[in-house]
Amino acid sequence: MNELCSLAVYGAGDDRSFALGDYEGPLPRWCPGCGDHSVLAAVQRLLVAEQLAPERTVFVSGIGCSSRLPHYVRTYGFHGIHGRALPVATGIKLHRPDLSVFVVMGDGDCTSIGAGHWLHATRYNMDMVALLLDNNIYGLTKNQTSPTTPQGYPSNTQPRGSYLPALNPLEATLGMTNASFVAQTAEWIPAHLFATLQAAHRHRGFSFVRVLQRCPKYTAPLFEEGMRKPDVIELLVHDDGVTVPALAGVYKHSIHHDPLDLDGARRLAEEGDRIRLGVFFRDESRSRYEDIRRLRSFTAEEKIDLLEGELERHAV
Amino acid sequence: MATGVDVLTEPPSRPEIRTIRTSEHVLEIVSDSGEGAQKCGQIFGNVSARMGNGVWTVEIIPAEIEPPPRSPAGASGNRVRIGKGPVTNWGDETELVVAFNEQALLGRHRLGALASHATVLIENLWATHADPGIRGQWSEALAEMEGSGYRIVEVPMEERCLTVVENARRGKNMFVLGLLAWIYDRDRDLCRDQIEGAFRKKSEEVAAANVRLFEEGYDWAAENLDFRIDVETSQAREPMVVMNGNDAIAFGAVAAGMELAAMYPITPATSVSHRLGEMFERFGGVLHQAEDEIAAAGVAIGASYAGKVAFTITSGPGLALKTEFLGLSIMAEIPLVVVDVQRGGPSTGLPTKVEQSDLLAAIFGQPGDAPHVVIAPATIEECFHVMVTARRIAEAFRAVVLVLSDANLATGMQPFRRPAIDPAWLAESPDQSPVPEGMQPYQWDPRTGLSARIMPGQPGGMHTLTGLAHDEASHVVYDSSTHQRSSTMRSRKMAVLQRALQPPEVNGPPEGKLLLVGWGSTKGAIEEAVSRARSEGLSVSSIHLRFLSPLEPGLRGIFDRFGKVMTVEINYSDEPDDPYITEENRRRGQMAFLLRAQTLVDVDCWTRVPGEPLRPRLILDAIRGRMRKELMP
Amino acid sequence: MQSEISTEAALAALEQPRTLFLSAVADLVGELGRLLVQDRDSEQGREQRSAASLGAFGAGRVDARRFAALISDRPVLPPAALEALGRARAVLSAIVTGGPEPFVVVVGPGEDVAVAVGAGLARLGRVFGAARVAALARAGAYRSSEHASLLEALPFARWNRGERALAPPLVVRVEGPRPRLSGLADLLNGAVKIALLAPASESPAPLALLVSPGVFVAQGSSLDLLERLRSSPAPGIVAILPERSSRFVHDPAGGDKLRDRLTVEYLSDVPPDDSRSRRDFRADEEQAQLALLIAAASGGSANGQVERVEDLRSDPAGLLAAWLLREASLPPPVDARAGAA
Repeated sequence: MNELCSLAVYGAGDDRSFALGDYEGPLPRWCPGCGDHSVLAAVQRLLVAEQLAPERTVFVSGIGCSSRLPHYVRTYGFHGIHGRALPVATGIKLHRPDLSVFVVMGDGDCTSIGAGHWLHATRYNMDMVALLLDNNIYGLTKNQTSPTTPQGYPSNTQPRGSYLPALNPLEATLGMTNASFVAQTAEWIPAHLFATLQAAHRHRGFSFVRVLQRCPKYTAPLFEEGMRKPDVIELLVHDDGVTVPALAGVYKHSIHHDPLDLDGARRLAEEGDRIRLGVFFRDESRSRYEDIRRLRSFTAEEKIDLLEGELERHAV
Repeated sequence: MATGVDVLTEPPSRPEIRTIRTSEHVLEIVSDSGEGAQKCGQIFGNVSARMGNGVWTVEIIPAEIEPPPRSPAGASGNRVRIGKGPVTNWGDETELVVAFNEQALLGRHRLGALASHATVLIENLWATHADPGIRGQWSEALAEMEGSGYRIVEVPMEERCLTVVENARRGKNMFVLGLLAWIYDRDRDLCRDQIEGAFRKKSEEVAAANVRLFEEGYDWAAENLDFRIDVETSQAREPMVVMNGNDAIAFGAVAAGMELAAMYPITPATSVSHRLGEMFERFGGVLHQAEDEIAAAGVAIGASYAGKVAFTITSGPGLALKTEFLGLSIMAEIPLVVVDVQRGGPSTGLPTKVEQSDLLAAIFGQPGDAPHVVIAPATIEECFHVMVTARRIAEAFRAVVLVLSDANLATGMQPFRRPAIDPAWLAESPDQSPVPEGMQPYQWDPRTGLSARIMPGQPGGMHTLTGLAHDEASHVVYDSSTHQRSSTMRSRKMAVLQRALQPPEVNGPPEGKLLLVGWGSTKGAIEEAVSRARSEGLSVSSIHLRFLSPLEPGLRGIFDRFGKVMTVEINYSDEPDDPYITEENRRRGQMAFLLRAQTLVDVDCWTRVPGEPLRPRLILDAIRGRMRKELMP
Repeated sequence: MQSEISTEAALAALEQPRTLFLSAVADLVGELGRLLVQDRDSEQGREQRSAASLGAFGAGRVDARRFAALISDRPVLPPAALEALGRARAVLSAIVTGGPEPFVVVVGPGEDVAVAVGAGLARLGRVFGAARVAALARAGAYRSSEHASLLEALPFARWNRGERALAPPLVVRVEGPRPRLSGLADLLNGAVKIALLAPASESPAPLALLVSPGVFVAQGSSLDLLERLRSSPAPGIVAILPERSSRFVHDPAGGDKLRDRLTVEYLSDVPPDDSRSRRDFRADEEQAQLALLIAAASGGSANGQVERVEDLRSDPAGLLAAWLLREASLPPPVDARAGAA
């Protein structure tokens, strides 16, 4: 277990500062108008704002359009398999708590094939940011219903409309034991997106952020109203949550919501007439898996001593 | 086994005591689950090992935690084989049984576990029990065993234990240990030390009560039994340790410097994690009990990607669930150690019983071309050491190394040479130095396919690892030449490893009529059978493979010097003379399948799936049978 | 009443961050050990080491010479570099196994606490010095004349951001009645956490002058404060003082506004001692600063602050008024609010 095995990296004179260019990877290959572009921009802005060393930052993703994001950020990236980003991120963080870990998942990744990991990662409450880029559809595999597709919305697999009510990821996360940070934002409001990412990054624990996100190809109509009519948006504001004063002029509806109020958060998370954005719940006092027990690393000599002692107990 | 038995008569100063002198003996203690027969067997095994006997202990485990009491399927306990020299396997039939009730005994009888000359010490409570149903069961059971040849001695276990403790159910096991200590003339101080060690965790009073129970049993035996068994010891060897194979794997993993294991509970692998959890608490390290088998693989891979090589532990059903992640680990060349403690399959199969049916799944189970390393320890000692080798190869080759253990090694206990821990075994601290300019994450050496690993924390090494087809820079590339090249590189690593391997040693003459080939936990039984066969004048040798993929070199050359090659495995194969079976449709043992494909030699097999380790005598019979049939004129 | 918290208890309360620091050191010891072994070996040595690393299961099954040939080694370092690496490793090893002594600073009566703590941090700085020496040696840039002193000490002012983020916690025991602390402000940076034990302090609010937005500052007499210091992500200092001292917590996690960060549990009513021949202006100044902070905080929002100070032993407004009246030279609270909030 190497808390900070980077002691040697910071040689003399390492007082680097990082600019946007330090985080920019190759040009993204998402469709024009895809919400992933805005998320990428906000993420890169966050890295600059927080001055995260690129070599000590890891983006972990699963499979799907959004899971390509790590390729476009110049940090370390782990583009793994469908639905399993969270276990990988858990392993990274367990072995290397010194790394900043971001998990990028789509709605299929997080709420369908990897749903079990999502619940348990919430409960582990390890210090990482988990982004659910929710476009309400399977995009990469070309238009299949996802758990978050609204009821009645057609796709290639349910052509006359999705059969069931959509899964509400906020409710599910808020219902899970030991949840410590649950927020929702929208990629078409960059200031809110950035502020939410920053709050998530600064929160110590598992920061779950659902980002509402257009798929221009398959679910554009679902987000049109939210994008065009500020009236359907309702901001949750609080000093302990996200407050973007500049948005007050555009978005008239806001609720003062204390993120420590879990019952309130659960009520607000229910589907309603308006799209609610902001921090629903935040409690830093929840147990964090990686903090519960930590021994310092032992040197080889110490380990051998311990092993010899242990062998002695089995000696014949 | 019957060799070396002779009966002596002592002077008739008291009830005549026969002392049976023998070079080895097999005994077992069976009870209902929860009556502590296993602890009794373990202490007996430990004491015997400390006195200089070779020991092999096997747990007798029912599938349920608390099966119905007094049922044949619920027999739980320990089987101990002790001998003068090293004991390499569990042996043949049991010669002395201590049974806490007749149903447990009946369960063992029905499995054919007992020798016809076996002596049975049995609780005398049931024959005269107040419940007529129980009395009925007793007489039915004895009737069923009639004619078996057992010598049955009734022992008032409950009655004597009640003179010491109030609840005899919790005390019989140490009373029985006392009986055995007298019969086998075990060192009483050593026994007391072990009892105190085992019970001190509970309280000093509990420990003291158990010592008194032990003395009670010893005294009762001394006053009432008319036989003793003297197994020779060979003292003064090098320092030894005793543990089971799962403990050895846990130990070996720590000695290999691994600091993270992820698992999900599954029999019979779970106890590795018990030991690891306990050691990591003190040695630094993480035992992560994941939400499922898949997550366990993912956590181990994530950890390995970012630091020292990590590992995951499972059994067959869990291995099936991990396959997609193994494919990722192979594709992205993330070093990983996977331990599969095999059990009977398919599906949930025989969770507590031994089998070697995962071999082909272990090698070929991942969709896509997924070259990786599969190795199998053959002894409990090797369970310890294999982890060092597995970790090293995984790291050096950026490879997945799958270690195939099995339930026989997992639960068997055996003394072995105390490992002299070498600092070179420990995993190196991750290299966090800056990555040289221009170095790529998959900078394959075209000759070997090897490339240096870059890990998070290293400045200048930023890249995104991917399970998609990729080039040297880890860029996603779908063109045909890149996929061909990268597939070649991943495969070449296996060839390079294979060229560094040495041919297996032949046990016995390097040429002859029959060569047996084994792998995994069957080594002791096969070699014992070969040695007995050779003492009968049969021309038999054996080899035992550890590297199963890539296979050890030189096999073809070895095979060519024998008239016939036959694998001995604990997995299913059709018998050649079964109905419908032809040369063309015969399903062979898994190693036989592999060897035929790799060597083009007509390798035969003799396999069984009895849910228990192979007995040397059965292998001997198979050797005789095949030689008579095919090799004798 | 004297503070009963021992150095050992304070060390135990801050064990976790110290463990993190020592882990980093231990890992570097491992990494350097590897370099030392690898680079010293001849080809034959490499083969032996290869064989050893493959363990007993590999023996006789894997050809160590062929295996060694497959594993690319680092370039061999010159003897001078190896010697420097060895010395760096020895420095680091000694810290890992040397017990808590380097993490405790004892300050005699009248000594400047900041000077003593600075010296303690500089001594611990030899860990980073050793890491730098190792990096220089590996890069072939190590010059003994220039760099050898790094293995003795590295003053805190020369620690870079990464090193500051790894700073270990210190337990500082101060003897004497008037700890001089203001100079500590320069050292409360990165991950520096200081548990200051001053059982003989007579100053009512010695830490008030250290309050600044990003620093956890608390004083009182309870061990719980050390737990809060440990779990705070900010750098910080906690002073454990006799019970009659003021008790307050300034926690940067509270929010952007002073009133959200500052909680005053008790404001000492020890009056300035006019009977002394020479009045201790600094102690008074510190208490006045705390009063000012309270004024600034409570002025910011009446609602917010009243709740927080309601358990004061005496009426806070009255206390404040008394202070302000007595310290006629102080600017009125309105200005202070403007300055601090």
